[in-house]
Amino acid sequence: MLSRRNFLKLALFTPFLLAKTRDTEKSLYKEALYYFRIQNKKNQVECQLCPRGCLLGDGDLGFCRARKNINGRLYALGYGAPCAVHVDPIEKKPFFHVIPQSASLSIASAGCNLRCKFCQNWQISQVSPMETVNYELPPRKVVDMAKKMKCKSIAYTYTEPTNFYEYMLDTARIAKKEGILNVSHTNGYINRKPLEELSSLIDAVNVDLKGFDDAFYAKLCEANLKPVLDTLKILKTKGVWIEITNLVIPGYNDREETIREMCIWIKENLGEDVPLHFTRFFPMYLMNSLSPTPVSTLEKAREIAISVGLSYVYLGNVPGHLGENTYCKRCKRAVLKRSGFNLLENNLKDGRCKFCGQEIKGIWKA
Amino acid sequence: MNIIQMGTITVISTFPSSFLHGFLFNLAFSLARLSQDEERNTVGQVYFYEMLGTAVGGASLTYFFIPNFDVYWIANLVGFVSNTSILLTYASRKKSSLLLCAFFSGLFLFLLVSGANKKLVQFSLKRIWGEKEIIFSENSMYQNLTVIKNDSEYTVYTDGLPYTTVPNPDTFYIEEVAHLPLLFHPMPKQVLLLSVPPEVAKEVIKYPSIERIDYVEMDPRLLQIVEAVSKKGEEERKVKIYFEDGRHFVKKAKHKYDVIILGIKSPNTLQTNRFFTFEFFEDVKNILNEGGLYFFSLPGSNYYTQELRMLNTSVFIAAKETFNFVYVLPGSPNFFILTDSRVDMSADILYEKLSNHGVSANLISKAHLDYKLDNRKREWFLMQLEEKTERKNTDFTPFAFFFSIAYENLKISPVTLSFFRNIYNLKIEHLFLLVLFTLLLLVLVGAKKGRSVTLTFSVFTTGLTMTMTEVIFLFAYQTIYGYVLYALGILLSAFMTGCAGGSIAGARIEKRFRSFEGLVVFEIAATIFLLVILFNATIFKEMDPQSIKLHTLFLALLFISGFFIGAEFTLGVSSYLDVNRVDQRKGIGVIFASDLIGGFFGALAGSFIIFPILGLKETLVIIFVLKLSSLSLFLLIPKK
Ligand SMILES: [Zn+2]
Repeated sequence: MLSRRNFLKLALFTPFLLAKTRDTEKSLYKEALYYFRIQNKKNQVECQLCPRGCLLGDGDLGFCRARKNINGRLYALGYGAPCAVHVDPIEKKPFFHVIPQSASLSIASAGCNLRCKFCQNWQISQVSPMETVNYELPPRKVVDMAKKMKCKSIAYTYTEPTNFYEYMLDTARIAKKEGILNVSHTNGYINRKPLEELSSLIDAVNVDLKGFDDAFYAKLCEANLKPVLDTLKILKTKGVWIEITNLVIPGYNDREETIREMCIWIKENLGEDVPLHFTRFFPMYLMNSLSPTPVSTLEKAREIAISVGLSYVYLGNVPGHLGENTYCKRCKRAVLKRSGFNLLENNLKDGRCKFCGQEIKGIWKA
Repeated sequence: MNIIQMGTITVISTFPSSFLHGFLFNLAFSLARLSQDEERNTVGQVYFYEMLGTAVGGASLTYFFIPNFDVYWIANLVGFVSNTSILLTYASRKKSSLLLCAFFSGLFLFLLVSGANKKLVQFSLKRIWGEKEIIFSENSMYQNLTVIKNDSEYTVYTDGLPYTTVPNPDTFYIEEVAHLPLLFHPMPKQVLLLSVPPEVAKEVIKYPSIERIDYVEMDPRLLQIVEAVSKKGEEERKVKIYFEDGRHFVKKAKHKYDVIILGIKSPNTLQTNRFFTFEFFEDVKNILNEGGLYFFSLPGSNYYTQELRMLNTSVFIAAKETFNFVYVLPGSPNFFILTDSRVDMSADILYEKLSNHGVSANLISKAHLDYKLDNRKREWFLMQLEEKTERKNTDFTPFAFFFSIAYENLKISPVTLSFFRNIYNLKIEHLFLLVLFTLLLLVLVGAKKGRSVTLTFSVFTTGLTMTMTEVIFLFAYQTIYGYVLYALGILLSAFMTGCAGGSIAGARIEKRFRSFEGLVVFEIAATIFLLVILFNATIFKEMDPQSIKLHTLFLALLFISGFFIGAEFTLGVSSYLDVNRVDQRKGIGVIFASDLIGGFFGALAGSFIIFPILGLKETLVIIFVLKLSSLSLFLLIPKK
């Protein structure tokens, strides 16, 4: 067993030397942005961060479990207190058009404003920061750590970054000054104003477009579709780099017609150069008795997306599949050849196809 | 689902001895009352017939019905037979109950004859699998096997959980499990595969250095089915398949191996926990060549909840105690590498080996190995382990099993109250205090109410302790033999026959001697019985699992446990009626409730909490203390 001494020795040598704390009660609460107090009603507040618009009485926790009304003020609970801190390849987020093969310092504090039955990170997304063991890691330290660990970007991911909005915002502000990219993976469930403020700081966003009808969102995520589409449109107008992930769950969101509608919407509203990742579903969380998505279904979805006119369509969770490669939209040759997290070939030169000179949209330099 | 499996075990083990028999007992008793006037004898008789019926039923269920018929057909038959027999026996009595019986008999007969049971099976499969195309579903000796077609892929399910998908399996799992262990070994030649999906074997075959692959899988039907839906590949002579339990295979293996790979992903049943215990690690160590390694996976995550922490720690401690080196590659899942020789954890070297073997893979690459072997991540994992614990996962202290279940439970209630987590810290001292407190309370109450308190508590604790021993014997059986389900019928029959035998013995004694003295004798005998088990608990480990002796011992122990319940119930009722001059129904009600509640809590607490947390030895201690406390009440509470 790890003895106290070994623990200290280990701690000295690891950059993960972070003080763990349960004491979110005092220092790690931060007054939330985007809420207002309700006149006449004693101590009630309305959170305006996400479309849920939770109405909270004194002592209430928001739907996301990450915001709390204390004496008529709304506090963000996970501020500077992430429960997960890891270095991942950026391809794992997934971002296929953001500095390939670079390391990304990925952080999350607990909570989520959706209730997806297929959540991959249910251990932290379905609880409150008060229930997790957290690191004490204020924004400044996150950026220092990213530099020390040679990460080109900081990723706000695993849970829903909107829950730790203030933390993300403050960190992103410092990171931007220091030349580190800010990227996030989000469900897109956020209101216009906070999103616009965030857009000036964030470089790339991967939005989960979990399905393309309200019934799916209602049944599997306790949410609805429109706010997600609004988010995508706002990000587009703000010039943030967007990639979209669509987890294809057999029998739930794999109707060809719906997939076609979704692809058409993407092309018309966001343009043909937005990368779209169709990801293979594996039995997970509350949907652990479902079969994995047939690869043929994913291939069909990819064909549809390409036929609709999208330029960069990928398959996720199928290592070794050709759908992992980035093909030039003009000469159709493989510009970036991948297998899993591995980049087999890089035929990209200054953001252009080496073979024909076609520009490949993305963030290729920090 | 594992919680469901576990629940099933509990329900099945308590069912006959509590709910079902409670229901049938009352029914039979009230019917018997209609036919007989000598009520007192009836109690013992009804109890006897009911238990005997259950025993015969259990045995025939195991050996005849389950292998040959589907569940609904059996249920209908049981319904039909029991209703008809009630109908025939009491044909001349009450009209209303007669009509009811006739109606149910007719209904069951209709279901039997009409083939509606087939539709019911289809319907229930639909409920489980939705609108999916079910190609195949059957119960093998070990599990339910179902194949679902999804577009051009087939997913094979075992007990409702996806086992593998062909032709496109989960590449992440398959490639990591097959390649990583082979790359860690300098030159793998002899490989043993335990319960891995066949796709893993197909990857392992790619290595030219390998001379021998022994592939062990318990359920022959499973491989047949996977093969049937897969496109047939060329015959591989290298792979030798053994249909048997991996644990037994390792114990008596004649070969030694360089690499042993386990395909079981979690110790979430007692059957699977056997591959993650200290005892098994020792067996594995015996059949590893110099430089050999054992590779297995455990649930992992980006974040360690307390349950996940304890689960990984309990296995880590057991591994560390057996092997010089325990390496863990964290992720989801975590990969454990147990070996006595130092392993080079460099991605470059591993990648070089891959190319030297001339093997190509889709996922395993330099970048992937870099990510998988990341030093910082491995150190981070070690920091997630519990520091202040000595909870080592062993066969008879199955902590990993308990914490797997607790971890799975989080999915259903992610917002766990820290209250429930207090259970994790349960110590035997807490239970001692609880028993002591109860005892004090009973002595106080007994001072007023006299001996009926003693009687009720005796029957209650006998129900409680003997059901707990029943559960423990079933658990021990599963730990030793692996699958318990197909043997469950015969094991429960032994227990039920015990109950029936006990009730006859009780009735005999009641006629010749005074019931109260009889009860005291049984209380003393029960206490001695529990003491004997307590001091011989290691016998389960020491005896040869294949010997007929051990099988017989299990049956005998279950019989005796049941015997005490049966005897004390019968004697309890008559003593209660001697002590309190109350209406007979009320007397039976009180004693019956004590037996029932005791049995229910015994099974529930025993299987869900006490045994998995305290382990065999301490559970037996607390069971003994409980029985001793009820015995002591005979001295502590005077006759009124
Ligand atoms: Zn080109």
